[in-house]
Amino acid sequence: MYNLSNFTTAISYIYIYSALIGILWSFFTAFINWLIPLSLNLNSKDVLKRRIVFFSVLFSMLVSQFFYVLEQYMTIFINRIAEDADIIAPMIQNHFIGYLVLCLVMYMFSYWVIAELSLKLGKTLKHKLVFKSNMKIFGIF
Amino acid sequence: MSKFFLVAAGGTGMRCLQSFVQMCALGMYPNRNISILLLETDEQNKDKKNTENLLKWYKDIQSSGVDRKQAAVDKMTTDGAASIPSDNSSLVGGFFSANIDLYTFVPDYSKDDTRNFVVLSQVERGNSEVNHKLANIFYEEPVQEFPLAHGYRARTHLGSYLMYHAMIEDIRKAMSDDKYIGKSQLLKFIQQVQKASASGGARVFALGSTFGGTGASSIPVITRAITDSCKILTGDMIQMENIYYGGVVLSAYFKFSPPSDAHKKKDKIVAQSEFFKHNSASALMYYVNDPTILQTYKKLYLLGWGGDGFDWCDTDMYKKKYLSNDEEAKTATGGKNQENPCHLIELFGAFAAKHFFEEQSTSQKSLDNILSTEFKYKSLEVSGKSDSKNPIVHWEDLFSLPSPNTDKNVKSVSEEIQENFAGLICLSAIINSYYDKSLNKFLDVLKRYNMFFEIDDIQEEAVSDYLSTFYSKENPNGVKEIPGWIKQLYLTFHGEMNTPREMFFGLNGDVLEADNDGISWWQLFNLGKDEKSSANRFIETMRKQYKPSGKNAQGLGDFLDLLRATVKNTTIINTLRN
Repeated sequence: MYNLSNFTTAISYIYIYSALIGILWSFFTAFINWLIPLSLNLNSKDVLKRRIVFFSVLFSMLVSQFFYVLEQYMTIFINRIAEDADIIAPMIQNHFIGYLVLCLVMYMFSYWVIAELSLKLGKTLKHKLVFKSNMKIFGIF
Repeated sequence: MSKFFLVAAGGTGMRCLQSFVQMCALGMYPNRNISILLLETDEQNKDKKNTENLLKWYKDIQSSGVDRKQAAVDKMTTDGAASIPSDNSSLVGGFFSANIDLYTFVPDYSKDDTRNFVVLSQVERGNSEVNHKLANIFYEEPVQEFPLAHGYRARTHLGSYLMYHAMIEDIRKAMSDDKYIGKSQLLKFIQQVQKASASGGARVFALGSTFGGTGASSIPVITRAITDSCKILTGDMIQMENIYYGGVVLSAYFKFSPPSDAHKKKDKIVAQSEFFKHNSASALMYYVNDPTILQTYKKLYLLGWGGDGFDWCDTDMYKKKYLSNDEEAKTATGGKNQENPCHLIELFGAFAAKHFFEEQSTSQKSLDNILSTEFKYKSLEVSGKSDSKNPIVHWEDLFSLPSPNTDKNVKSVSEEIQENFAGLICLSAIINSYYDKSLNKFLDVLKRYNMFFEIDDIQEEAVSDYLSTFYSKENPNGVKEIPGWIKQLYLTFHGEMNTPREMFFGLNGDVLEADNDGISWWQLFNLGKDEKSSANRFIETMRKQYKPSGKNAQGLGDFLDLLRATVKNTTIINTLRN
């Protein structure tokens, strides 16, 4: 029998790692967006720029996770679970989409929390604008 | 509590009134009702037109769509109803504070039987020889014959006589003619004065000059004319001691080119600015001795500009530079071309009214104890030397009464006005430079940042027009921007352009220069090192003060409230608050 404890630990670690990656990338996005100034110009594209940054980082994060980082970390974990690796490895890999989704969700959630907190604490409104501008969600709905 | 009445007479009176209205727009007299009477002899006078426009925009800004709808209903049901019910309008975001009711009285000198003194006084009727002899004792012949349509042309001895009788005639006509009674705005004004005298008292303050025509003619007789009109209304049953008169008289402070020989030959009687100083001196000598004035006016505020070495406002230069394409801009002493720039001294005139109206500075008890006119004046420090002198004016020189409220957290009206001052300059400059003078475009930008305001077209137009008048407006000739009220004050105070830019009431002179389109608005505040970073912080500050109301749009009052709160929470680079 394979070691269930090792398996669940590995899964948990990878999920935690995914969540942390999402959070870290959201901070990175927040920093970039903070650098884009609000403008009084009627035709300013500052909100659009922030949205582009937000989705570009999200896309880059998912691509990098998919092609390199998650793969690397999973290999490390699979190697650590020496016994029954051939059974556990595919099971971990089966969670791959879950890791990516969690990463994505955590990125968005974390950015949303940053946006809400920065607005509520009176720091800046810039991050909130990614989700809502012109009194509409994403400026459209 | 006394009710406030203001009488603005002549071109200078109109411009003093413009300053007064601007101060009301900046938050003076919150929720007070003020009745204003415009006295003018020249129907087409541009200063009068400008003042009426200003008051129209003021009322449009104050009124919501609901008010206007109600006013339209009222107008359909009541003949002569005010276009907007003043008692229902109130403070708009701390700005546009007072409820103003406007009444106008312009004696009609355009008809054949009123066109000059001779026909108006019926000198030719009866024994014309005796009549002429009598008239000649008081007036030179050219004075008797010049057309009155452009005012009294600095002939105050004639003007006072005509103005008093024009007012009394109008009241008598209104009282005897049922058709005319609804049309006479003078009658409505007098009725308001009479009503106020019967309740808490009426404080009537007159604004005018000592050197011109209509104003200088009206000031000495306006008290008697109002009192006598009230007596006609009530059949002498009026408590005169409940009407308190005050006034400001401005001595000469501007100049214009002397008229050409051809002009003199054609019109015979032409106002000449080189005589204004003498007119002022004679008028003041008369005022301090005249029993009518001494017995009726409780307080007279005497204001004047410095003599040698002080820069006098050159109205011709102003017109050439800003109002006309034509380098040969002609001197206009009346008619639609008579439009002189506003001057700092007129702002002092507006604050003289404030001093008289305010219970804190002029208590009712003290007014009751005044038996003969108190003459008030204001002296200022002077900077510069020999041929380049300027008074030093601090905010406190205008109005500095402490808050009557002992709570230190409650700001006094003067403090509120200071903040509104900076706020309105900032708003005007922003709208001017970024949005082609359209408030709606600014609101679009705020909506982008989730601050949602919606105002109706009439209010939008009124605000845009008002701010253009306040800060800077387009020249229809397309040559240059015409400086607005605040820039005109700066201009007349600091002389013509190309002089070193100076602080003005502690505000950065750059923003107030006539040729500044407003893009340097950020230099008013300590927000950032350049326009970009300042705009960023300004919007951030605005958003912090914004109180969202769900998906519903907020109105003009909320927007102006937000503007004021933003300015309050922004450090102004100046000594304005000190």
